[in-house]
Parts: sequence; C-alpha cells; structure tokens
Amino acid sequence: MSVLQVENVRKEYDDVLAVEDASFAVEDGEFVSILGPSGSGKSTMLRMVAGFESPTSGDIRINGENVVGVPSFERDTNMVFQNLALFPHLTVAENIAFGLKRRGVGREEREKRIEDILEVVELSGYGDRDIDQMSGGEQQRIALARAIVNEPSIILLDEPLASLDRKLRQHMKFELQRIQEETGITFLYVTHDQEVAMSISDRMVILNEGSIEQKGSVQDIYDRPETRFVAQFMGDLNAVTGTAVDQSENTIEVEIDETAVTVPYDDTSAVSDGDTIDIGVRPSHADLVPPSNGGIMSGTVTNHIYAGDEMVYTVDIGQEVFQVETETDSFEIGDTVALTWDAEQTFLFNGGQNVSVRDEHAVQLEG
Amino acid sequence: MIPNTIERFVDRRGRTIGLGLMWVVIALLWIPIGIVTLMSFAADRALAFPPDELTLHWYREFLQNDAAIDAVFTSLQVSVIATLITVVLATILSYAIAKYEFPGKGMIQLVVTLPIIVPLVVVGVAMVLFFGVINVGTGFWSVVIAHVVRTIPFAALIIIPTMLRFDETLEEAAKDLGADELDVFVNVRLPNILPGIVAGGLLAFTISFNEFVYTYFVRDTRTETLPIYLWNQIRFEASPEVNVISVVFLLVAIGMILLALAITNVQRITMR
Repeated sequence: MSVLQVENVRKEYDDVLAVEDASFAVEDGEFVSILGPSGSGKSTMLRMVAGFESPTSGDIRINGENVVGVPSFERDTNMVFQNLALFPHLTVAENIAFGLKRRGVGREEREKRIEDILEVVELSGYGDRDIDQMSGGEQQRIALARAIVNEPSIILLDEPLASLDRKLRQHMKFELQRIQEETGITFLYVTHDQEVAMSISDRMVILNEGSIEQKGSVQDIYDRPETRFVAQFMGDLNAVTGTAVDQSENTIEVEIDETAVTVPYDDTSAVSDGDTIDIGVRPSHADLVPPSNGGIMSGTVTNHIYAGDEMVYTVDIGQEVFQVETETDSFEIGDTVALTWDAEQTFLFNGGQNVSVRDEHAVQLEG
Repeated sequence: MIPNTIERFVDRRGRTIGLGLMWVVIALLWIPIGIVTLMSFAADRALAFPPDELTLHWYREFLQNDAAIDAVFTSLQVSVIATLITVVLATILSYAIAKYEFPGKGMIQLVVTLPIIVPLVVVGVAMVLFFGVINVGTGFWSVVIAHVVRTIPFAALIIIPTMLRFDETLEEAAKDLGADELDVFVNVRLPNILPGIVAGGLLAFTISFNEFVYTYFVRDTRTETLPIYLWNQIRFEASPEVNVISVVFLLVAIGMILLALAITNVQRITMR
C-alpha cells in the first residue's frame, strides 16, 4: 500500500484555483519531489498533506486512511519548514524532544533517541546549546532531526535548502539523501530548484499552475518530457519554431525561415502538414561549426561566456536566441557560424505537447 | 535650506550635541526625583531647600502611621488584581488580532488605545453614574474595575505588537509535532511573548499604582489608595512625610522592574 495517496485533490481560495485535480502516490521509503515554479501550488499541496490546509475536494490517504479533516497534530506526518521554525525558547535537545513528548515516549527512550538522531545529523554533544548559537547549516540539521526522530510515515520538506548559499546547499543535498537512506523514512520534498530535485529524488511530480504536468522517474522526465513546459523547466532549452511541411516514414521535415530541417519522428498521427512545430534542443546537444562545413542552420555569434571547461555561445538565428555549450573556443562575436545538433536528442513540440516519441530509446532506458 | 556652516558644525560635533541633549533630558527626568528623595531626609517641618539637617525621622513617622501603611497595602491589592485582569484581557485580545481574520481587525488597535485621550475627569464621572445605574456603587471592586479600564489601553499598546511579531509558523511547527491548541499556547506562544506581557504588565501596574482621578470618583471611604492618602495629606497639612511617600512610590517602581527582570530574560527586555 502506498504511504501517501493524493486522489483528485482540488484547492480553491476564493476565486483562485491553487491546485487542480492532482493525483499521485508515494511508496514506502521513496524520495519524491514536487517540483514547480513559484505559484504552481506545490507548497499548498504539501500543506494539505500536513493538515494546515483542507482540500476543496478530493482525498488524501496516509497508509490507506483518509486524513481530510484530521488536524495536523493527529497526523502521522512531520514537516521541515522553509524557515525551519525551530523553537527559539528551547535548546537543541528540547526542540527534538518536542514531538516525542507529545507522542508519549518515556524519558529514557526519549533521551536515547535524541542522542541517536543527533549522531545521524552529525551534531552529537550539541544538545544543550541554544538555537541561536547554531549556524544556518546546523539549524537545518536540527529541523530535520526534530521531524525524523518521531519516525512518522512520511517527512514533508518545504524547500528547506532554499535559504542556504550554494556550497552549503550542495553539501546538505547529499546529507539529506544520506539521512533518508540511513533512516529509510519516506520523504516528500517540495522545491522550485530542478537541480536539487533531480540529484536527490527517486521520482518527481512536476506541477505547473496548479496542475500536474508530468510524474515519473528523474531520468524519464529529463529524457522524455511530455510538454514543452517540463522540457524547459528541467534544463536550458532552445526552441526553434517552424512549420511541418512533409512527413516520411521515420522523419518529419520542418521549414524554418525557408530552411528545411529534418527531424527523426515516428508517430504519424500527432502532426499534420502545416502545423506549427517547435524543435527543442538542449544547449549541450548543439554544436557550432564553420559555415563551410554545412550544418543545420546558420547564424551569427552575438555573445560568448567562458564557463569553466566549455564555452557558452549565444547565436542569433533570426528567431529567439540560440545557446550552444561546446568545447570549441574558435569563434568570435560577429562570426557567421553553422549550427548543428544531435538529431536523436531533439524534442518536437506540437501545441506545447512533446510528440517526439521514440519508443526504442525509451525501451533502452528502462532495460 | 540650512546654511552649510551649520550643517558642517553638526556633522563634526554631532556626537557631542547628541550626548549633551541626552544628558539634558535625563537631568530633567531625574533632578525632581532626586530633590524629593533628598527632601524626605530633611529635618525641618517647613519645606526649605537645601535642608539644614538630615534625619530618618519622617520615615519612622511614616512606618508608625497605620493609615499610611494601610493605604500602601490597599494600593498594592488594587494594583496587583487590576494588573492581572488587564494582562489577561490584553493578551486574549492581541491573540485574536494576531491569529484570526475578522472584519474591523485593522481598527481594533485604534479603538482599544484611543480612550487614552478622553479626559480622565469625564470618564470618572461617567463611571460613577454607570456603577450607580448597574447597582455596583462605589468601593474596592469599583476601583479595581476602574483601574482595569484605565490600564488596558497601555497594556494592549505593548502586548499587541509583541504578539504580532510572534512567528506563526512556530505554531504550525508545534501542531505538526503533535501539540493541540492549548499546548501550543502555553508551551510555545506564551514563552516567546512573555517579555512583552511582562513589560505590558509592568506599565499597567505602574499606572494603576499612581492612578488618582478614577479612584477619587469611584472609591468609598474605606478604600484609600496611596495617591488618595497623599492627596488628603497635602490638602490638610503638607508635612515632609509626603516626600517619604514619594520615595515609597519610587521604591515600588524599582522593585517591580527588578522583579520583571528576574522572571524574564534581561537581554530580551532591553531588546524589545
């Protein structure tokens, strides 16, 4: 049985629709992220699971039991808040003991569990400190320990890493993963940061304007985004707009400003001739060559940035600017260049939906 | 525009000017108190400054004066009871303001604090009439109620902002960890707003202990608070005992502050 089942949940505030018909499940021991831009309804979703908000309609089941209407203090969930919400009037150990006391855990057992959890979060011996004596990273760990120590069915995390600087965030990311593996507790993590979500989750739920755009494994979502929104949210994406002019068995021809571009494609039902098509290309899958070498399209270099071991070129192709990440550093601003890309790695969007279904590729990934 | 030379002078001497003004203000506040304290030790019956001779005579007189000691205890009783009632009411009021949304919420703070500007005598007369109409009459409890009416605006003025500064996610965190409403209030909210409540209570107590006008209207003859006793003394004969009573007021105030510092955290009080 799933630890958490969200079924057709809808949440309206006065005249704002925050969450629309959302359904997903989280299995025991999984690390699932709800990923979406700000205002997508992801925090509302989490707060409904925690019991701070009630869904307008739909069911939320924890271990099979519908908890809609059950107050947060009677739910088997614990939350790590965005601002941590540690109790400033209590010590580190007293903060962690707060939930245990309410669960009726005896003194001896309590002290043992606090000691154990402090070890897990690498803060042994800090139990008697005041909260304001601890650094930002340490406070994160305390907030996590305060939730985990109760061993709830599911831990809810509301972007707890958002306030940390980059380096600490990287570190805490791995710490979260380690702690989740060590304790085996189910994590539901809400974030707008796709990089964090991708590196720590088993599965992701992508939310946009209150609706679930896609759910699945991290790799599945990155490699096979179902919509243009997901593809763009999961990483940098260039979108070149053109018109479908011709289809053959395994390819489709798209005309872009009088240049015909051929894209591999095997679903004849999703596109008709004359449809407006966006070709999606990730900057890392594109490359630049001198115009004499041919290439798929031509353009002019308008900017280049040195980014560690590669260059990021911005190329003007007469539409939206096109970004290319490549090892070559032989082009200057103003140069006319030819663009190429790995045709197998492109996406084809018709009306925002990804139609570049490549079953062979999918089978390979799952096998 | 202010001439440049003045601007320059202020820029250069800003610290000196600021400190100087600060000492002037402090002097204005404390010199009268200092003189009264000094005069309480004066031997002469007639008030002459500076005193020729210093003595503890008037303190002995005060301590042997049953009427004066009774007035001190009556005042303490009235003020302690009134302060407790005021603090509880102001805390409940600010709790509602901080936690719930309701129509007219924005006006509440104004409505609660505005009575401060109504002339005391007007309210005093109104209270006598009101207590008469509802058959409570005058007496100890009328004085207590009058003091609550007088002190609530001041206590609310301090407790409301403290309550609004309370981080409401702490309440969510506590509930998430299994605490119900009462548990949250007692074990999370209260400890975090205690400095504000103590400060509000302190102000309420001080105002109540000094309250004269309302008390004068609604008291009966048996209920003689210290300010009333002092007033009667001054009216009939201005003996130096009056100065001693002023010092008693000062000592009570200092005692309250020390008590407040002892039951809360010194740092927090000064911070807020």
